[in-house]
Amino acid sequence: MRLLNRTTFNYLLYSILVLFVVTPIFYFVIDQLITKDVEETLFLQKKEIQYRLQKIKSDGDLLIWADLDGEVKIEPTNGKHYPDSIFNLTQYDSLSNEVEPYRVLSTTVIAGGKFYHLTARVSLVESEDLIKAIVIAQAVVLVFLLVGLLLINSLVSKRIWKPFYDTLQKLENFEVEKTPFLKLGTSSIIEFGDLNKAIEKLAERNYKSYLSQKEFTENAAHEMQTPLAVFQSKLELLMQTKNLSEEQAELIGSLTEATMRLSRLNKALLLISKIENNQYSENERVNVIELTNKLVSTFEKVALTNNILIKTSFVNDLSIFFNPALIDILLSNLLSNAIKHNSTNGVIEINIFNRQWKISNAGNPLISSDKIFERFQKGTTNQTSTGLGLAIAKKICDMNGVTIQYEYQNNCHIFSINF
Amino acid sequence: MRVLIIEDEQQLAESIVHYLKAESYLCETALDFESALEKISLYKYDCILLDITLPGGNGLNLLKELKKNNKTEGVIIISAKNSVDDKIAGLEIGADDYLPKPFHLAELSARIKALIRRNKFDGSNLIVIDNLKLDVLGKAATICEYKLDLTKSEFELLLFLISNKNKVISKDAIGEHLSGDDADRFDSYDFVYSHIKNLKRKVTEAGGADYIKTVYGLGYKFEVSK
Repeated sequence: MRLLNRTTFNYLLYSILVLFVVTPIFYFVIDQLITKDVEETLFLQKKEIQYRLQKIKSDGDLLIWADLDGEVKIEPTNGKHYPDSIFNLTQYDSLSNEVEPYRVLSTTVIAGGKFYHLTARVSLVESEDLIKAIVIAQAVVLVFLLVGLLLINSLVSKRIWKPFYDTLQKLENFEVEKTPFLKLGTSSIIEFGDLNKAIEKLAERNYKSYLSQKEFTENAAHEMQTPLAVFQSKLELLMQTKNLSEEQAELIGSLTEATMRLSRLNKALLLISKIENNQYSENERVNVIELTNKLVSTFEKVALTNNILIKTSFVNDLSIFFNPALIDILLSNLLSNAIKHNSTNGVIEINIFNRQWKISNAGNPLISSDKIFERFQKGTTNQTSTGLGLAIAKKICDMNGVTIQYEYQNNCHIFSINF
Repeated sequence: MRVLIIEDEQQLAESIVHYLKAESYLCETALDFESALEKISLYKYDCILLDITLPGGNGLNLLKELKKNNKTEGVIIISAKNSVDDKIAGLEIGADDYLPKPFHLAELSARIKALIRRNKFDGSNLIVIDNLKLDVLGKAATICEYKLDLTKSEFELLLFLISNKNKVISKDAIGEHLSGDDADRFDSYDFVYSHIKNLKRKVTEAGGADYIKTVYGLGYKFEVSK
């Protein structure tokens, strides 16, 4: 969930809660106010009637007068005294022909020394309508307020968080191999400004350590060439010595093999640093089918020695824009890998379909396949393997923005490159 | 035949001298730019092995010097840099060959022989050992006028073995030589065994001596009585 959505969501939740709690309370309060108001009116009415009753002389006059006002009823009580009581009552209203709610005051008034029972009523229909109208208006205002708040909040937040999202975007696109420095710009918000500065520093340190690591690999590999050459030449001279015993010969043979591996490892490391240094940056159109066929015929010599058959199937032409040396290394590393991790009498299949180049060969599943593209991850105890072939393949793919994938399906190791 | 080895790593230079001595080459070494410059201006050599990074200067400048003075020496660059740019630059200035370090002495020796053969136009493109004749240009081998039916690799193998005759050559040196530019692609050179086997059979079947010997634990040897 985005930060913005999370805050908006919380606001929304709170607002709905307030709306639901406040509206009934509001309704209740208004209702109370109006009831109180109505009661005051009723008592006022009683006072007024009491006052007017002083002027009436006979019962007949009283009844005629009382009849004029439909909301007031005066009846003789025969000496009985009614205490003041106020209550709600639903009564039939002959004028509107409906049953309507009323607030009724029942009390006793005195006229001409006699007690009369007075019931005065006030219709609550209008009051209820009023309450409804007020509550609805209130709710509408609240909703408007809420929506407005949310909108403003989201707009403001978007603007405020923009530098953050810009930074995030730049960080996502940041590749230490390609762009040495990260330029994030300044922000008027102090926190973001600080964040940007911190990230820029981090990126710079990152680049420097990348650079020194790269230089170290390159220099170490270079510096190793000469002693390696000396070592190898001395071994070759040692080989020529007369009357070597079998034991000595075997020792020299093992040393020769180890030197070869060292030399190979060195070359592979140099290759990696060259790729990282972008020394293979010139791209050309490459016909992948032609290249694959060329590589297959090159590797046939090695494959045949192990009785491995290489099959190809090309569904369509595939022409890519790539550095010719790199694509050559990439495909031949995968091919060499497929030969190495194969069984005798095995089969390697290479397919081209759409923009995908796929190589598969049968073999036992790997113990851990998630580190397959990492340096010095060896799948076998193969003595001649450098453990760098797939790391180089991955590096080439990464530097050229193509994806390489490994999967194990139906007892087959499958590597696929999507150009 | 005179060979000048311009190489600042004394141990390597000594190894080369030692290996080539048996081939009746007269080897001289120069360990830095100055002494190398002095030697090439004073003497004439058949072949010069040239390292690029030298104390006192860049080996490529020595090469330029040679070409400026119209010297006809064959030059093989031996460099630890193994960069395509250096190779191209060296070959453009006029080097005849380029061999990246580390290299097999057997390979170096074969390259020197090939270079000298190319530079001499006196019919030395024919190599004769007993009744075995190798026509290097025509890439054909005959034994007592009987033409051996060799594949391209088998011919290359035979030539390589002969170029290092009476020397033990490791399987890797042979494998690398036969693979040429593809050498780095292969992790092992197991195919060498079958090539050797076939070549041996073809030579002996045609009546040739059993020259090719397997040296236990080390490699192979083309044995010729001196």
